[in-house]
Amino acid sequence: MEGTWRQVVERARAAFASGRCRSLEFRARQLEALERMVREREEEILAAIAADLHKCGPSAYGHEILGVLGELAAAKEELPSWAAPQPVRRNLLTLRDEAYVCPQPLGVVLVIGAWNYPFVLVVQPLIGAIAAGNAVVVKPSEISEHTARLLADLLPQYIDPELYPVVTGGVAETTELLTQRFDHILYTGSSAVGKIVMAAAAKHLTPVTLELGGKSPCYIDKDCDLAVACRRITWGKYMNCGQTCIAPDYILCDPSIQDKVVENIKTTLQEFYGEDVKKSPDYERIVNKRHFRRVLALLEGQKVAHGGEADEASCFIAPTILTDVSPESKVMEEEIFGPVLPIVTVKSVDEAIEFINRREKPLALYVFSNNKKLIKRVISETTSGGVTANDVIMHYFLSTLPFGGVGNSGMGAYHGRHSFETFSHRRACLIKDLKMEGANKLRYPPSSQKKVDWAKFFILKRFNKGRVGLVILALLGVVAAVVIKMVYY
Amino acid sequence: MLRDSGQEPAEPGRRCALPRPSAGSPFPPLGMQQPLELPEQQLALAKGAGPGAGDRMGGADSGAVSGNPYAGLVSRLRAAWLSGKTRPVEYRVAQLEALGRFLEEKQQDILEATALDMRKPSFEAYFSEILLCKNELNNTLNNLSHWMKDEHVEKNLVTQLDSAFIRKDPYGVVLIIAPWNYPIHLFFVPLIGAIAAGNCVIVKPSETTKNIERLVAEALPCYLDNDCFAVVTAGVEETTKLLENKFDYIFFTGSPSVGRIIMTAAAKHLTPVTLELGGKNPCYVSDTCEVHNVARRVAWGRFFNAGQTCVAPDYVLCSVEMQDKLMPALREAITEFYSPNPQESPDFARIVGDKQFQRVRALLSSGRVAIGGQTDEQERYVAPTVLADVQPSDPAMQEEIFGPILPIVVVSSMDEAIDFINARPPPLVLYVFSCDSKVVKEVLERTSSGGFCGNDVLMHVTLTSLPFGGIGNSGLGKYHSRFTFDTFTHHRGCLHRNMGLEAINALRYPPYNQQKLGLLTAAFEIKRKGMCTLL
Repeated sequence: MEGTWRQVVERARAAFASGRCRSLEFRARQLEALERMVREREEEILAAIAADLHKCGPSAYGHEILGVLGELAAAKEELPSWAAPQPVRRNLLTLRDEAYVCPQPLGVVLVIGAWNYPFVLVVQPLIGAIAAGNAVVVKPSEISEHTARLLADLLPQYIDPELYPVVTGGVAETTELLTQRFDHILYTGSSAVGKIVMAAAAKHLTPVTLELGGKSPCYIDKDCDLAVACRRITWGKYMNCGQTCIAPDYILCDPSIQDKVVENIKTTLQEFYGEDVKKSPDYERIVNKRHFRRVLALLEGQKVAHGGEADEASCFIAPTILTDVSPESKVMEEEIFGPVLPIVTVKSVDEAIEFINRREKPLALYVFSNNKKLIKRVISETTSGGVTANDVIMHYFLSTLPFGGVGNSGMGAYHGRHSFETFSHRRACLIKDLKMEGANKLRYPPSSQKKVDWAKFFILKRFNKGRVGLVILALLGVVAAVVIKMVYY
Repeated sequence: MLRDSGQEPAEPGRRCALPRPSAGSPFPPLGMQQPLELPEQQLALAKGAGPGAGDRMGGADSGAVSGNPYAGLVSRLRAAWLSGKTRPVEYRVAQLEALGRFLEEKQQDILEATALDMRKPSFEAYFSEILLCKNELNNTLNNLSHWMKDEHVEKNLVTQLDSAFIRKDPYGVVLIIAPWNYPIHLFFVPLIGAIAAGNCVIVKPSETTKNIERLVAEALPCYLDNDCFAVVTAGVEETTKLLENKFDYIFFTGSPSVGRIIMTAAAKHLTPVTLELGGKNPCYVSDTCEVHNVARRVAWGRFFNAGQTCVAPDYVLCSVEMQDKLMPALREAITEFYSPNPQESPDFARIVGDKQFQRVRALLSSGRVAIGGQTDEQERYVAPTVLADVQPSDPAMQEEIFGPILPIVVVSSMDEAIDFINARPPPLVLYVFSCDSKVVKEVLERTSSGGFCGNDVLMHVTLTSLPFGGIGNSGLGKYHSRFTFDTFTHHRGCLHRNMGLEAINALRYPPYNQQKLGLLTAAFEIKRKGMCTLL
């Protein structure tokens, strides 16, 4: 197996070294082919996702395909400006030189996907990596096996199979794969495996982007439109049967509104899924038996205010709400990743902030309030990967915002331009004139106080911004060069 | 608290054993002697540790360090971090200004200590340890409030009425580990960014440059808020213990092999890292060039700090004709800079330690010594040396030289030079000398490196608007000026939505149907330049 992976990676490396993915036209063509694949094979993609997660077509389209198409559109339009060298401000010493940052591909990057949004979590990073000019080894999650198989089948039909190979397999295969050297690894998954990925990357000094998880808190202030807040929370919590890394994991609210919150969520659940949730085509299932048992076990000893029904045969767990949950209970220890919503009561926003800060930094933070000052306060006194205030999930869909975690919830970010930058090396370039030696004289030994004074002048002299400043700077530069030539020649 | 004691200082007010110096240095005047050895008790007192410092110090020095001696220190800093003390811009500015005062008031001590540690010429020390640091500090102070601001981003159709911005959150408690070759600069510049970004910081200066280490450990805490900033002095074993603690960011400058160890330790806590490492920086000299200028610039870059610079040109690639032309020019430049006897020049440094000296000396048996080659073990002096006709298999081509030796490897063409470069790990910086700008551009395009400088060496490091960092084996991450601030900042995507307009949200809620999906598609697809497809 190791031999096979090594061959795959070496082939990708050779393909990268050939230089063909350097040109923007090549990258644009690959992205166009990817777009064709998504549009032409939409039915098969939706069917695979449905088979993996019991997800209906419109839902899968909205959660996965839409995001991919948006990302492709952005990359297509913005690629020339993303890839262009960016000139930088120069100082007195470099006024006559070319100074710019030149984005370059990293080489061969590895994208490891997750099973909960099996298509978008592989393809969205892939788009950024291709746009940045890299070769990409794609490793979809084996748990969402239909989508993995489909990707292995479809991608080579549309995009360069040597540059962008798909590798499939489980834990053993991934461990072997990680012994190879990559120039960047983007991993989406759990914090525990994130540590393993980073440790493997450390052996090769490979930079990593880790999109992990955690318990994303959701604070509901007394002063807010509860009906709207609860509807939005219900949507974000129970989509994909709670198996969303940025789902609101638990609620923090004042005890006086806890019952109202439960009522509102119950009403919304009815609106969304009807009387019998099990019969609704829009409600997904837990991905497999292992996770089913894990999530169900979290209900032990809890006060179930709504839901709790489960059916192992179909991995069905009803949308569930738990009230008066103790912070020390099991359901408050690990990321739930299931349709179970604990409510922990706090007496004030201070207590909520303190509660959040005592725990690992979450991937997302949610706060609902009519009071703008309160929202600002919660945001500024906590930290998290990202934030949506007065809604949930939505910061994920704005690709001008960097999407990623912090601390235990991850490192690095992507989406839109941030993907391009993640998968690029921003190379600092300074190109000087070989002929003009004048000003250089003052830096060469033997040293003297005069040289020290000149060095201070050149390095520390500051001018206001603006054209006048620049003109003065230029004049001073010329004067300085002339004076030095006279003094030292 | 100055020492790795992890304990509270004896009295809250008495944070520093030394009076805040306004005039004169707390150090006795230092001449060009052996590194200063203070009697043990004086050392303990000078470090301002609480009671029992002697035991702890003895324990740490004698090697067997048990438990986690830094846990107390780290948790104290974390508590300070959680209190929010480092967040307000006024606080950060005050600390940065204090850093500026440290640089001003301790300037003489810094120059003396670097002279003692590695005979750093005062101009070089002034340039790299004082001037460049001041530049970074000024730049940061001038721009800090701008950098700290929330960055508003372009919105899509769905979020038009919302507020979308990137918040600049500090990480928390960060660790900066510095090397010995530019012992002030390489902790100071990251420290500026870490403080500017609002973090609490532990600084670990290099244990190899003992005088600087002592100076930093004793003096820096007199300027900075000791609740939030600490200096830890530690050797290899203690640093390993230090790394067992959870930090929110680790900034390391040093060798690739230690970089791997740091990143592996960081992985246990999912701590993000910036690693400023090294490698062999190639310097390609084409046949069309101004030989004398090339020789001067390359010699300056190679022999600065006796070659102990991560961005020094490590080896030259050129044609055999260019090698013949370069040799006399290099000889001339070296004589111009350091006089015919560089050992007597005050402008030429020494190798930092005996171990490093042995290593560098062993590299001399590569190719043939065309210039220099003399060594003096007593002084750890290695003459400015140029080796000709070096083979890729020679010792000097197997590791980063980090010494005043410049090997010349002959290649027959630019293509061969590019292949040579690409066959090796990407370096921290790549240098190309040519009067033909096409040559410069082509080498740039066909290779990879952390940074690139055409027709000069080192200078890209002094332009603060350029990001400084490596790629692959030469490092990950980047810094200098704004990039340092960004390194120590978590860029947090924030979306502040409207509670109203719930009707539009209805598109996304179950029960799902094709009609809703159609509208949703139109609403979500990113359209540029304000084009509206929904209406």
